Amino acid sequence: MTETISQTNENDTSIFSCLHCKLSPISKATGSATFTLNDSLCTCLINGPGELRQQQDAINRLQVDITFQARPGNNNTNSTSTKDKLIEQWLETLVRSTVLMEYYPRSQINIVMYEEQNLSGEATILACLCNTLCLTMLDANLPMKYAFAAVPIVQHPTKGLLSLPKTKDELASTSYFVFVFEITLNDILATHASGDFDMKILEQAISIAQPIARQIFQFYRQELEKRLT
Amino acid sequence: MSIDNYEELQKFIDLNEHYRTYLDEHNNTRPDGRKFHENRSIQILKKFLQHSYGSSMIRFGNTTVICSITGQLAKPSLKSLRSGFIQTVVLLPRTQAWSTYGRRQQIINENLTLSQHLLDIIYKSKLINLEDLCIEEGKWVWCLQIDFQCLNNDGNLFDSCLLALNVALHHTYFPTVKIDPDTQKPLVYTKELKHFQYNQQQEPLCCTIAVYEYEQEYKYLIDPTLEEENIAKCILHYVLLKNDQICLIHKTSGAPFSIDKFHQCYSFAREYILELRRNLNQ
Repeated sequence: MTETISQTNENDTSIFSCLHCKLSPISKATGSATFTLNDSLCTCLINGPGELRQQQDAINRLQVDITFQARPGNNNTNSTSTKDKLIEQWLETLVRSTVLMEYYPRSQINIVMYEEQNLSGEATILACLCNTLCLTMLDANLPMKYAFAAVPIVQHPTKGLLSLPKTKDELASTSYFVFVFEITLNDILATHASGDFDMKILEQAISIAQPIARQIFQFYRQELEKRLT
Repeated sequence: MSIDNYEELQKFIDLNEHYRTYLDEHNNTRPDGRKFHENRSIQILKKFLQHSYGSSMIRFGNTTVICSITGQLAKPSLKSLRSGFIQTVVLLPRTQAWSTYGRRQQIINENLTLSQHLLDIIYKSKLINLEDLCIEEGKWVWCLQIDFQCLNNDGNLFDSCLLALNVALHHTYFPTVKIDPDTQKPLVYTKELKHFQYNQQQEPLCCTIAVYEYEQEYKYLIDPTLEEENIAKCILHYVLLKNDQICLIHKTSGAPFSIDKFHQCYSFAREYILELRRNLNQ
């Protein structure tokens, strides 16, 4: 454990200065976490396996209910926009595939995610939400198949591919990629990539994102260790 | 849904089991007779709605989608005085029988995400330039309403909606609008129609691949039906432009992928979309 930290000593401070986390800020919930990625901040809370409402139809597995609330006041209306619904549905597939659903038949978990601050574009907020979700599930001690981490990468017109981009760079970029990696095989669980690119650029982006995902998993480990000591 | 014979009963109880037994008996064919990489028959109908500026109807097998494009005059926002508005709405009227396939709320959510995907594709691929919708700067712009009615949902709505959009835009005619210099009100000449200017070079078309796990390896089902979408481990959407550049890759979670699997799916998507383009240009 100490060997891996000393190897990446030069990059250590640069990655870890972009990430901050606080576990269990909301004490009444089963699990909660606040996570910061560059200029985006998200909070997520989980209310653990509880009773199923009558109309739901989860007979032999867990029913997952995700709500995502974007920062009120950004768009003119108060209701959830279609963009938020897209994010909600994507995150729901993520939860369904990680949590061991067969362990809790006829129960339901409620996940509520709040976006508290987002100065940059879509890539950072998506990645921030994924990471917050994973930390919250770890905090709530839900049985998961693997932990996951999301890495945002943007394609800047002059600087090329940038990972964990700063706000200025992200707002000037043309395409963005968000990859969700899992901890065991470094395979990609989910992607959302939008813009104008080809497979070579995608390959390059994946190869840049893999070591950063490893460092994000290190960060998770550090945070959980802090909590248990 | 009638449960007459043993096969229907098995489908009703456990769809996954039904698929597995079918694949055990006949390898390389799906229950509706296609191979894994085959798409369903496509039927295209253009310009059949009387009151909209552009319309099209697409059938992918049983999936039927109607796209209708209309426009309304609006005042531009103060942030950008030259740009118009585009709004995409996907509707699923009650012609669906969804007693077994999930609650109405789930289906509504699916449609909202589809509307957002389509809007993202229009913006990212620069298919319609917002400045083209300007009539007079600061005074009047077009607000483009693109409505998709899904008359029958048998899976793969994304592909059909995007194809319908491309076909409808190709044959959209807008009435000319002139501003009356005395009263500053817009005069709409409905008989003088001109072809809508949009970026015809980009033709974003989508390929939906459902990943199904069978005997420890992944089978890629292209153009999935509704049942296949329900049993799939994960669903991939590849949207390609005319020059084979990728506009959008959206992969839901469920089956971990390595880089070469992305390459494999890209080659499938490219062949499939080449077919679609041939159909489109006929």
